[in-house]
Amino acid sequence: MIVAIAAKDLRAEARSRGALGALLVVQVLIVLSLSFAISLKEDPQEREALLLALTPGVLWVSLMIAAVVAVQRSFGREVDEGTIDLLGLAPVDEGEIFAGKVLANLVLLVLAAVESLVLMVVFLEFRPAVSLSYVLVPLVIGAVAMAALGTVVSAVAAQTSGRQVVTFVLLVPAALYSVVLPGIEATEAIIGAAPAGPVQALGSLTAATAVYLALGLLLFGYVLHE
Amino acid sequence: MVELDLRGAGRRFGHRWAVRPMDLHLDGGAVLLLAGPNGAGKTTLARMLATLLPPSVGTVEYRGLASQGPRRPSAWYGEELRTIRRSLGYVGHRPLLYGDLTAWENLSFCARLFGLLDPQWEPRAMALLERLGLPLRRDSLVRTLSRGMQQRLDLVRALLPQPSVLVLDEPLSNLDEQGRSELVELLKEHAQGGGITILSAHDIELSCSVATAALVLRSGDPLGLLSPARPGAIRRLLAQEGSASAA
Repeated sequence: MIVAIAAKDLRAEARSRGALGALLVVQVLIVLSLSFAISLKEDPQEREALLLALTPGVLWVSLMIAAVVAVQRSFGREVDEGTIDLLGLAPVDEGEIFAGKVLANLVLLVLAAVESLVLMVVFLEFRPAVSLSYVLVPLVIGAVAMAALGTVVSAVAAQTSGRQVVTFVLLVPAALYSVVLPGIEATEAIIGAAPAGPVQALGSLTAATAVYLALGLLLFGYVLHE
Repeated sequence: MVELDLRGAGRRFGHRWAVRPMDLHLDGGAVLLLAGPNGAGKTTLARMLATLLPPSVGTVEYRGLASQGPRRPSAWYGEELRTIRRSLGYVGHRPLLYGDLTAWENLSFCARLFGLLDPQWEPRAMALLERLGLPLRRDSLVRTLSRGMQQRLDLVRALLPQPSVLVLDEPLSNLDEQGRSELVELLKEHAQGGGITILSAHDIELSCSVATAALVLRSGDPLGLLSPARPGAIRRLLAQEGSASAA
């Protein structure tokens, strides 16, 4: 059931091309802006240092924007199409609906993270000392946290009139402090832009992810039905 | 045999009663017509009976529903409610269909949602699509279908899990003559099979041809059960209430 719900969301998303297209445009704009800023430095070493310093922030802000765009469509579309009643009537455990929605959002966010990395490699010649897959590790953990938090926020916001504002107000502050900041620290540590190791930051990130998943499982039934 | 009981069940939003508390008993085979002007409370009552809205007071009880599919420990709302929902079919004002999925993908998703086993649901889905004139549109995206075709597909979706209780909120509104006749036939078969149907509609004449009882509502007040054998009496009551409201 979890896979069926996620597959349904991803198939509909791929056919409408709404969120994916918007995300790609936003990410290209972010990377191009950074590219212009870096090109102002004439010294190659200064350019590399600036790139190393800005990369974690750019990757995580891109992920944050992707989360805001992706999650508000998660339940927003169900409410717009009236299919929220189909989920409400479904004789399944609400936890399965939550997990299905989280999985769909997670796939979109991981795609967005990979997309950001590829754009940085192509446009900015970002070449970290470690493999790119290591750079992806904190981004994927953060994507799980944002998908879990975002799915609950989306279910709440979709039933309000100011869906986009409510999503932003509920999601961004919580994700910023509990996910983005430790995520930036972890990424800095992994790409060698900070002296400390990534273990502590990854621990904070994983703890936030576990808390959001547990809260989502506990609260989602009430949010869906009340 | 399935039975449905409302015991003092009513629903209010804030201080306003959308449906005043009422008692009602329906046996298997019953087709209850909900009649009334716009804003009478038909949709609220239909959603209450479909378990989409909990009653503010009283209870809605279903008895005799067989549990289908695997039983698992209850989570927030309990296995009992899920058992009822496995046996409920609901059609609302808007089709419960995903516009970016094809007709068949929608039915396939609904089959999984209701725990129907592959490949048993497929022949039934095809038979229903053929019956409602949609076999050639099974691979069309729902958003490309006309409103009437979407309504037909939504009926297929609701009937697919073979529900014991059907709650249909104005299912006739977008259907052509042929679609209406087919729906009436399907409802007769559902009643003959011992199922309960709750049908909210403005087409009194056609609805009375299949209904076994009619409940007229006015501003959330149930005005009583009438016999559908005399649709003229129901229309007159509605006309009186309409002119009283206008006055």
